[in-house]
Amino acid sequence: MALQKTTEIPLNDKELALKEYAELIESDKIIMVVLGNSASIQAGVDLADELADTSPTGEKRWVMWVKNYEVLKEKLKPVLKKAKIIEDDTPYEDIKAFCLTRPERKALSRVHKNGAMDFVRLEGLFVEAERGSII
Amino acid sequence: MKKKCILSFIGLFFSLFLGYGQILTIIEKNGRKIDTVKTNSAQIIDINGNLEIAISKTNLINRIRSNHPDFGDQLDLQKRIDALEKALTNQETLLRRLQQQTLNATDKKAFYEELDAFYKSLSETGNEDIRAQANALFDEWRQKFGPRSSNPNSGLKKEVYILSNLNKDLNLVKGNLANANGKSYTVSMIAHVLGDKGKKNRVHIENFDTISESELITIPRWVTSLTPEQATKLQELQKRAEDYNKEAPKYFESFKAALLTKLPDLSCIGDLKTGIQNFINNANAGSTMKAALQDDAQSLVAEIDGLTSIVGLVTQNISNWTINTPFEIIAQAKTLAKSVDSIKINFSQFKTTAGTFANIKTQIDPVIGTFAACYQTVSDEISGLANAISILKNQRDRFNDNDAIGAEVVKFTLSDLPGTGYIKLKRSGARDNGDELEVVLVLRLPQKENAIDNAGPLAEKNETLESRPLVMQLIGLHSETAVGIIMGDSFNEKGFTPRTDKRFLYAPSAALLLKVGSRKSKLYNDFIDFGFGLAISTPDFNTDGTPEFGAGLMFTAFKNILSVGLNYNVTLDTPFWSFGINLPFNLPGIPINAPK
Repeated sequence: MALQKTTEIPLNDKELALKEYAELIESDKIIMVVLGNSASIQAGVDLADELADTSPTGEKRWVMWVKNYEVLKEKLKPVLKKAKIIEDDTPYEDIKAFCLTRPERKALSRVHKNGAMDFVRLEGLFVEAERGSII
Repeated sequence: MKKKCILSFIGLFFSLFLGYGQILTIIEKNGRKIDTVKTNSAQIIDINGNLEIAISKTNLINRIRSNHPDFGDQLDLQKRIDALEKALTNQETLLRRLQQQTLNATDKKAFYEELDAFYKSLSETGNEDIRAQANALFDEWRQKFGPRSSNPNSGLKKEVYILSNLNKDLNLVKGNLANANGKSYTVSMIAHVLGDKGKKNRVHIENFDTISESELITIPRWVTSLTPEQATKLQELQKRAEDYNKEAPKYFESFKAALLTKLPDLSCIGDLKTGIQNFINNANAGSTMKAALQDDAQSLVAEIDGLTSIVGLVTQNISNWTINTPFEIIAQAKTLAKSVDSIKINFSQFKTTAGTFANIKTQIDPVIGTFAACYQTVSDEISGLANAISILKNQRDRFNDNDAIGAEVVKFTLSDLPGTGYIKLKRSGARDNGDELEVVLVLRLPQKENAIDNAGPLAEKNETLESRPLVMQLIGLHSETAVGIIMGDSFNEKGFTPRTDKRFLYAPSAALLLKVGSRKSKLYNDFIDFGFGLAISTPDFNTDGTPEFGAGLMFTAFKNILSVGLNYNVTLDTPFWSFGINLPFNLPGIPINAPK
């Protein structure tokens, strides 16, 4: 299924990756970041891409898919650390998905690598970030 | 630290594997201060505080399921209802706002708060079924209206579809629970103050009973004696408490009186015994025959005597039986039944032996006829007595089990059980420093088969699900008075010459003491209990028969039993030191009395 509202971050071109990341971060979209490239994660990205089109109040949603844990680590890890999502017992590599509010960007919760990327969880992440974006 | 880890582990073990999570959470509110009363603490609360008692429905369901596996189906339905109701708490406002084309900032904020709470509720551990249902409903919606239906005109919004269908399911499950053919049960919560000598005063819990609140009684922090109004009020409360205590066992007493009338009438047994003895004495039989019959007759008579003796014992036990005393009457009733059976066997043997001698048939037949009628009568009466005793035992057990839960305590099903109850201790009536407040959550199981001819309350077995004993204490600094006898020893200053034949002289003393109530240590409150303050006394150092006036400082410990003071005899203008041992009992010949 073609992804319509997802940016796949390039893995072999760091400069381009940072550029696409910066463009998204500076936009006014609610961004769901998905990390990894397993079959279940691909299914999760498909669902997240679809949910990005169904905000109940018409908010702009978008998905940023980073297929490995190296690219953009220096950008994403501090965000998660600040939100206390990464702690001693939960390293960066254990996070599968999280959502960023509109600027000032912040993460509120995440899907752990053992967690399901089903409708309830992904829509819940979007809704939580939309709530966190209301000033 | 290690100990704490072990305790935490044990707690976790019980919570996870046995489903024995704590049901009641007690929060104490004093002004702006809010404290949770932890079960692993001394559970000391302020005697004038306000309590909030929260019930964890999840842990309650787990506890009931653990104690009564036969309630499993109903509890599963109830759990689903609770989870759905929690998730759908704000469904009406959510649906209303979803219908609106645009939302203002305030509405939008409220909308997202409610929607966020909805998804978080679905994601909670234990709600996996409802989460799966919501996922399935999303798939259904996608199939019906096509994916990416962000345009409101293209169909129903996914949130509306999911909320509406979950609500339909909630109504369905509620209907299933209402029609479930399981045992019924209800839950109640009661509280009472346990004073000295185990006396109980019921305390009103808002949301859980209709007991009217007692008069406002604040245990004074700084006033050191009861006002006349308070004393009168206490007397009234005392009388009311006594009346209440008398009322509770009234039904028990009336039933006990009725039970005494159900004791078997043994007159026919006595006649039977006489008949048998006469038969043996007068039987026209040979010596061999007579000896054989005599053996059987003696066994029979011994059994009859045994029965008479047990009936006498039961009568005596029932008469002496109070609602608070244990008893063994049930066992005796069983022995009675066995004894009657034994008489039947013995008589059958006697009859067989007598039947072998044809020449005494005309003499034995009337005895056999008498026995048949008498056996039936006594057997029926003893059976009736055993039933009545077991009913009376249930009545007594209920009294002890449920602390006489009255009609004023509301019964709740799990669906309508309030989440929180409130106790205002100032409105809990007469109580003293150190009294215990016990909060009990009770599972009430109706047992219709024990109803007694529509007399008295419907039988009900009550099972304590959780009990929280709390100690009421004046926390922090407060004052109290103490009166006792001190032994004074003059320093012999300023020219005063004391008696030479006695070093210490007794003097009555009264002290106003500052004390500190601990929230953490029962040992300190109940035993160590230091006090410091001013004392006045009336010694008679010159032994002229006229008391002098002394004033000074006093230090007390161990509930004022021990006191040490530094005083000044103002009348004789001389200082003295004193000590006092005010034991909580009197000894003959020793002028020592309990502190008051």
